[in-house]
Amino acid sequence: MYNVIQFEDVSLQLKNKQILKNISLSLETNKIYGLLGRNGAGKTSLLSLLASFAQATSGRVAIDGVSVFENENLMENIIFIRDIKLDESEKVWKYIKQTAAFRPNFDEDYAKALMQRFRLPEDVAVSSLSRGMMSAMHVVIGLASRCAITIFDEAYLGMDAPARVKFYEEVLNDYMEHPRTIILSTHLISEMESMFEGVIIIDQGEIVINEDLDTFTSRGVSVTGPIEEVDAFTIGKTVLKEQVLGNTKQAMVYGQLSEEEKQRANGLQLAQITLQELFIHLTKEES
Amino acid sequence: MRLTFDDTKPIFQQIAEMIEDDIVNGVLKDGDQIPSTNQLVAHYKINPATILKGFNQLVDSGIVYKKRGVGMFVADGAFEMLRNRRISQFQQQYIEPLIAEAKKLGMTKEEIQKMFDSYER
Amino acid sequence: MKTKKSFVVGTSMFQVIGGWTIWFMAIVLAIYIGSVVFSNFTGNSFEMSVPSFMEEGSETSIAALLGDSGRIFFLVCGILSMGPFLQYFVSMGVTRKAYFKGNVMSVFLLAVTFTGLTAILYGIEHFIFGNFTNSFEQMALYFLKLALDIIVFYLVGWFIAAGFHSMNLYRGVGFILIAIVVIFIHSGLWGEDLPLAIFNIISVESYSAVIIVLLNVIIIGALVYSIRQLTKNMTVKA
Repeated sequence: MYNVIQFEDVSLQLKNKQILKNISLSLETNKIYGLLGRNGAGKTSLLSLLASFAQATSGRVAIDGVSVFENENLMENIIFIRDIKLDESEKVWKYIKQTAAFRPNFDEDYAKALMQRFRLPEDVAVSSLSRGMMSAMHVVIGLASRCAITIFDEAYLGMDAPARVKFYEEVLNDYMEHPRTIILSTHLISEMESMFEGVIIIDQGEIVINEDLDTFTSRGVSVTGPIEEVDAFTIGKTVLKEQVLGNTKQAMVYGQLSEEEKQRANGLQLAQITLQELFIHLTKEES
Repeated sequence: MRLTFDDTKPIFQQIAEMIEDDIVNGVLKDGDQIPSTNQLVAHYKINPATILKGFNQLVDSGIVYKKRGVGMFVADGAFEMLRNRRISQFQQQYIEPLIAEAKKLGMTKEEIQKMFDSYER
Repeated sequence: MKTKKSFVVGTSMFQVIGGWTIWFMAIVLAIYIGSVVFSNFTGNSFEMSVPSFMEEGSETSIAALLGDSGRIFFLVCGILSMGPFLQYFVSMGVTRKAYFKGNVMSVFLLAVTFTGLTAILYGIEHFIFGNFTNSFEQMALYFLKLALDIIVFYLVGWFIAAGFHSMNLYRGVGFILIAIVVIFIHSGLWGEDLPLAIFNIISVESYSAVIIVLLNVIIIGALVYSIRQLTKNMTVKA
């Protein structure tokens, strides 16, 4: 439906605090993205701008060149699912049906099937749902709405592991059958990593990484071996972390290694670093 | 088929290697259909794009080909191709480390030969 | 054919707030009947304030009680129509513009419905007890005023809530002060008793009702415009 989502030099300021700083981000549609960032890095603010919850202080968020803020057609195709506690006295199915009235692509049959899968009861008040069931309801709405841009902001927080697995399965299956842009903002990096095609890392209001997942993780290498040899190998390279155990050193290197360099690493053990490790070492604590 | 993927190398590569293993082991024969994207997504919970990357790697090396509207199939001669590739890698992957380790331990050629002889073909 | 979003907003808000209104009317009616029975036994009576053009004795009708308490009720409804409703609709992918139009639509629907129901209750009361001496013109004007009252007070409530939203406390209080001035001017126009004589600048006693209604419409227009300016780019909490 759409081709590209663009954050054009976007800044967001709230009460004298600079939340987002000159963000320029270009996202191809119809991909599953993982949005990673420490607490307070600006993940939710970034997503709020995309969902038109707020307007950028400067710059704009556009889809195919059209600004999203207050655009009726774009807004109805963007859904922002957060794990919030709802105080509605309505019954679950009635509440979900009301949501459907606002979403042109809502699939009621799919919603019912999802409710069965997550064991979400139809006939109880929304306000009386347990934490896990509340998350399930948000997920049902998020998936069944079939919005061209679907955002899940830690929507699984209340779910236990089995429920989360169901969630991942449903996201992948429905994504295959109805391709759309899905942005998963999460802290559960290792668990969800395999679902991402693109990864976006935001740190202290700035975009650090916006890239294909494999391309990004291929730049992380751990080098293990005798201390002197590791030191010799890592000269001039970006070292994220070093650990020493006896005579052995393990260094985490960030940067593409050429074939020649890989050959030179005789006697040293080279291994891939996980996305989570890369993330931890490329981002800073909340100041 | 593997139980799950690890973090030693990119997942798309592990998928490609897993299919190649199945071909070499005779689980998948020339002309057989390989598991579909849907099946692999359901089984491993990974992004379909990742699987496609793995498939493309296999297509590029001639191991597998795509039949439009049907699926991906093992190419004729894939087994031979892989077998030859593995044989040429055999020396570097297995023999060299073996020699290096034996040297480390100070073993003689005769000791190694004895070990080989104790195995029936 | 796709239904206009603002229409969906308007009808759903009307349903929700209309529901509250029914409850409110039922309770007021019960209180009224109770106090009429009570005053019949004890000989005490109660009076509500009514516009100066009404006849003596009108102060004790159901219409007067509903009219008086209804203003406060709809002021509160106006306040409540801001925060949670805007957040709900924006998170449903509805624009602030559609929410604004929808809420305005629901105000008018509520005013008409409430006035209509009050008129019916008054008619029933008059039929049963037949002790009110207002002419048809006076009652028509009274109910027109009632509808305008509802609209003004609701909008004032919405106005205050919009002023408080994402603004600091002092600015918010400033909005309340503006609101109070607006209410006094509005009431002064209709010749009601007010703490400060200055608010009776023009009143229905000296000018024709048409002019007063027109001035009301201007006040309503100003409120609607201000609310739109305040809510145009309002941030919704994620």
